[in-house]
Amino acid sequence: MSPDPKKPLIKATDEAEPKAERSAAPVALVVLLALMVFGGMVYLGNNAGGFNAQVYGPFKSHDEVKGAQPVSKGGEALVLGKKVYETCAACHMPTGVGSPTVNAPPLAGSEWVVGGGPNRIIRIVLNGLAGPIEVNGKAYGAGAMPAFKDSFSDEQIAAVLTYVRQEWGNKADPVKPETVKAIRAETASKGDNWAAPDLLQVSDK
Amino acid sequence: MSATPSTQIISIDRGNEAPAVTSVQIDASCRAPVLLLFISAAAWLLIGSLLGIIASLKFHSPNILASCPLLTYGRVHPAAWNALIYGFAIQAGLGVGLWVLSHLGRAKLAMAPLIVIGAILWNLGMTIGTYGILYGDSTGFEWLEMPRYASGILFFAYLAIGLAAIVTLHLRRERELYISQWLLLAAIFWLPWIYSTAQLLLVFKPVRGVMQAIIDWWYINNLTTIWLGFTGLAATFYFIPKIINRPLYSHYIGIFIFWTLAIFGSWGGIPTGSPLPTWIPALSSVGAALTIVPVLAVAFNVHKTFVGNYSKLSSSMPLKFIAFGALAYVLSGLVGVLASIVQVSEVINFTWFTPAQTQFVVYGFFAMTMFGAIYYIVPRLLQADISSAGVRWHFWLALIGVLIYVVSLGVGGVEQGTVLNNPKATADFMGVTNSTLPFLRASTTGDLFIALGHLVFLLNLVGVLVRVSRASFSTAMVANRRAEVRA
Repeated sequence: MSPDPKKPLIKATDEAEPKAERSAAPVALVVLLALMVFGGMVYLGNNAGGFNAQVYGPFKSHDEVKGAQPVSKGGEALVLGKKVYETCAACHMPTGVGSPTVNAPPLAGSEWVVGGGPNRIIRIVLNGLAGPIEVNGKAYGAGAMPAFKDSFSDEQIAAVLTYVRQEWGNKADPVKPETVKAIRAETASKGDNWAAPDLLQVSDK
Repeated sequence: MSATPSTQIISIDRGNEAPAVTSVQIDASCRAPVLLLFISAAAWLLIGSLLGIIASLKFHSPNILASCPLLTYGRVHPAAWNALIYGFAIQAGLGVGLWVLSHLGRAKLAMAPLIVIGAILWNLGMTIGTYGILYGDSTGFEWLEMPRYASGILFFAYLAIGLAAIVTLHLRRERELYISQWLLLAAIFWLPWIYSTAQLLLVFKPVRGVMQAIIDWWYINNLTTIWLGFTGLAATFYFIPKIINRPLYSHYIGIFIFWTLAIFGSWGGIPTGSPLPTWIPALSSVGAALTIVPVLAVAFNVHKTFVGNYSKLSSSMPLKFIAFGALAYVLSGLVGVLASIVQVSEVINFTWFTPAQTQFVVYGFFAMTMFGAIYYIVPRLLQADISSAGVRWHFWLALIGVLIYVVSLGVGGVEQGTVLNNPKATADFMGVTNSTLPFLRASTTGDLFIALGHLVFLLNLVGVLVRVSRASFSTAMVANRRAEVRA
């Protein structure tokens, strides 16, 4: 870049644009790339948490994350269920003995509650029940339980039924919100209350 | 392979298909737009480094300029970086890119008036954006601090210049593509994509929570690795063979670099300790580690092109700048790969090492390469020499400055991280932070050297412009007088 006036600034090489030789890329580079890709895969296998969005550091896998979660023993459902049961207690009484004056049958020890699966009682809570019903060999007259499908969510219904199935000496499996959701969808078109004979047609399992 | 006599590859005698457009004609078509981009870039570089010194001073002398809200650290620092990245780096890169595209295509620069309008718009956006940041309108996203009323202008200014670049490439007379054209074309398309995506998802319709951090990291990494990387490498692969007058060692290695960087280089940038689902930082680390392959390929291709001709370094200042840039690319690339390893990044995370690494890439590699390219191009645009003493001063000031800066903050960062990660260390956090002060003072010294170099750079460009315009003025006067005498 010396300022020499005699030297022409534009050299002959200016007209020639650079060309590239077609030398082959060294195999070592390709091998290195392959090795690095392999190493990268191994690293991802060990450290990417199975590409699961719930795995954060320092955890390495979803199983590890699941193991660190507090395990529910249904305790939360019972607390929620007890709360929701306050509505039911008006007729079925806080102790689940029912109230013959309003034709509300007992829940404690009732075969409708603890017998088999929750198929029928979920339907009763969703759509209500009208007309006579026999519980534990005792007939109850024409009572009327209203539908609760619009008042309670699936989770609330599952919780209250779990509570009812496990309180006052009752010992039945908890009810899952998914089961309630499925039955709610199945019976979505039913507008009126259930009658006991129709319910007996529904499988108990 | 490289033993092939160079004359067989680079041949001035092109037989019957002699180029209809000469280099001089192409230079004439580039003169106004490219010079405008270069002078603006140099001006922003100086503004950026002055703001950078103010920001750097705040760490050890917080009382300086503390009473002026415009000049508090939170505003000066982003303003300095935006001036360096958008004011200097992108304008210089576009100027060099346009010149290289038109020369490699042996065609005149297309749509020069559109480029001039684009450059004016870009500088308008830069001015508004810098004021916006200093005024307090920063968006708060790293490298995207400019408020939306400025970023919109920048976006459309870039589209105008990018369109001209694509048309220039399309109208090329030399059909065969050189590797620099691949790299430049990709860079031209890459920025509007990442810039609009980041603006849309962060500023105009913000995503929530940590997604914001992911997008910002993605943007910064793509701007650095792909835009600055591709544009800088395009200049490296163009100017080194051109100046030493030998062909580039291998076209295929160039293509290999292009694809590996484009595919894997764009994943990096997300720190290993970030509070994200682990697969994101893990994938990012793998991408960053994979870039060791293109980095080594660059080193190999440049070395094989140079081999036996390293002595030419002493005869050409532009070559010195560009060779230093290539060296810094390889070294900073290797450091980046090292930093992607979890055990290393645990130490250097949240320390001074990060700015040192960024500065090494942006300044040591990209800016130095651009300086060399500009010092090669400007004398040809103006048909006049730049003061060689000035260029030499710039080179040594920049070289010493960047080395002081990178080494001091790099070493300081490693020391800081080691103490911070030592559970048995007795020093508290403030004590550790205070112990980095000598390194910070050293980095300010580096900044001062760099800023002086930038002053020399601007003076060099303005100096040759003034000389040329004076000379053409007196030539015109002489012609005038002759005409009068004849009359």
